[in-house]
Amino acid sequence: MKPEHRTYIRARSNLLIDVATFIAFLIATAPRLSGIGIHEWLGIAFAAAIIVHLLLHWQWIVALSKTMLRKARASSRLGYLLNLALFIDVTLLTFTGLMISEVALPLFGLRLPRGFLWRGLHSTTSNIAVLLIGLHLALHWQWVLKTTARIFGLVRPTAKPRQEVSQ
Amino acid sequence: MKIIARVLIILSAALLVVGATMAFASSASSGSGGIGPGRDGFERRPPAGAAEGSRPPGFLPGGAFGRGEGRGDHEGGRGMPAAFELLKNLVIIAVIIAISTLISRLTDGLRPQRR
Ligand code: HEM
Repeated sequence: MKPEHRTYIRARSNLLIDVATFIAFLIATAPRLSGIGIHEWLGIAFAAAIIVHLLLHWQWIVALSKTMLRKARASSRLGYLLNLALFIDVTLLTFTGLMISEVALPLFGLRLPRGFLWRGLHSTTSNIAVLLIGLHLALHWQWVLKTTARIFGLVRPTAKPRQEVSQ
Repeated sequence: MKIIARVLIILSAALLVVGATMAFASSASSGSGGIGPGRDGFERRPPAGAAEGSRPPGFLPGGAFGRGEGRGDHEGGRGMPAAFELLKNLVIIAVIIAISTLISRLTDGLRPQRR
């Protein structure tokens, strides 16, 4: 398989996973729409998808973690800090969700006392996640547009093969 | 093997965040008496019949969203308000992307062209 084709397939599966993760997140932000059971399982699936997302972009994380304090560009540094904040926020969102779980954890026989602090934190981290995911998407918007255009054949075949923009 | 190691690294980082939050929650609550977060974030309940003002908005006792079982129930059903929540968040994200794209276009335009 040609390297460009391999890059294309990889970018396509990355985009599909990212779109599914985003849709899951969006539905999870409206638990009254989905109902609490779907909300909880979708939230757990979202956390699992984030782990997959991080694994897919592992090279970027390692490369930037190594150069973070030295020679990374200002925009990369900003992106790194934003992603770090997003990781912390999503971790807290999932954790507080589990702490107030009414369907998923009781299924495994776990019933925690109702924690009002965790509820408030769950709501706050959800609101912050909306903002941070918006910024995260904005940061990679060119990649999203380019990959979408390639998938739907909107890029002219005569165009020079591009260097893949890794997320 | 490599993937398992990476997953473990991610989970350890998440555990660190959770540990720090638990520590913060219990240290923040150790000084407060009466109503407020108790140890490990579990709130001490207000005495029976106390005012309802101390709860975070949207959370009422007795179940999700304070209405029975809360399965999709809000202001009379699954209609507008619930879908509006999703739409509102989608619009917020779209606005953030639009503003960021505009700013980056403007700053690119201001940057001197390379030959
Ligand atoms: C993508 C991840 C998630 C997002 C964006 C999210 C968002 C939200 C939002 C916006 C609310 C309503 C808060 C309010 O009314 O002020 C909520 C409530 C709730 N969430 Fe999540 N959540 C997520 C993950 C989870 C997970 C993983 C669980 C548990 C396994 C969970 C369990 C709950 C429960 C039980 C409530 C209802 C609390 C109550 O009213 O008593 N959430 N969530």
